[in-house]
Amino acid sequence: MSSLRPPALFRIWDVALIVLLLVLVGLTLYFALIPSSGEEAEIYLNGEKVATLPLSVDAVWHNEHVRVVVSGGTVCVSESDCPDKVCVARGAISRAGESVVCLPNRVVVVITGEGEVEAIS
Amino acid sequence: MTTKRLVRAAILLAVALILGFLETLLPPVFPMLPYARIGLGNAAVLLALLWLGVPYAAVILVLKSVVIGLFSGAPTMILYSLAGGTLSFAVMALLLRIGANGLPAVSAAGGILHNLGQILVAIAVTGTAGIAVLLVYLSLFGAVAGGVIGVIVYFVDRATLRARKEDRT
Ligand SMILES: [Zn+2]
Repeated sequence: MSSLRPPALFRIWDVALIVLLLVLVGLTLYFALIPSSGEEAEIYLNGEKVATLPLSVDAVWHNEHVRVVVSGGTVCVSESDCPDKVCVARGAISRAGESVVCLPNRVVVVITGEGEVEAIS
Repeated sequence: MTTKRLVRAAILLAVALILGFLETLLPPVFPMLPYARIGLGNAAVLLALLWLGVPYAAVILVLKSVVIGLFSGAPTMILYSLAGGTLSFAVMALLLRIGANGLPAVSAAGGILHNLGQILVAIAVTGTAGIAVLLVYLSLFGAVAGGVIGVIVYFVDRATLRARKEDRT
């Protein structure tokens, strides 16, 4: 067998992980609590921006795979032919920095606006 | 003893596949966290690392990712899960070898890296840095899910300790 130490529930270096977790919790709260309404929904297909839709105007963008709907200041993927439907399940988003992703169709919808988070990109 | 290890590897592969399939049947855990994976199948990979060593565990990881990707109706997802799985696997194998961390922490680190790997490939494929905020949420989610799985694996390992000692003699 391998020469691994027997497993333990806790060892001293786990403290490093706990510190990392606290940082992640802090960042999550920071991003989640900033009230920042978005202004525009940018739609990317294969990494190229194919549309910029102001959230203030109801609109529909679609290709042969997905249907993106702007309505009442929010945007959502209303229909998609992808097998996992993760994008549709995401629901409507409205705040700057939020996104809807459809990996199988390589479509990303990102909301931009004042409070846009640019620090980590 | 090679036969015994092969049998164990086969059983762990079966468990990894069953847990992995189970997870693809579940609805997304949090709708706001696209592609967050609990990584149930990772429990079997971690046990394989503990009991059988890196080569066996690596084979189980690759077979699991490919088979589940092919059968879940989204073969393109193989790329994502392999990227996440490989990163997670590497860090768990390394941490186990160093031996300075408890099992839940090892598994949590694996969970973080799994979700990170997936989203990094997603950023590369979609060419959209705007989804980088997801890194934070997905890391946190991966750490918690991985930690819980690590606790479960710890107790599975302990519960089977005597049986594994007996049949080595
Ligand atoms: Zn989709």
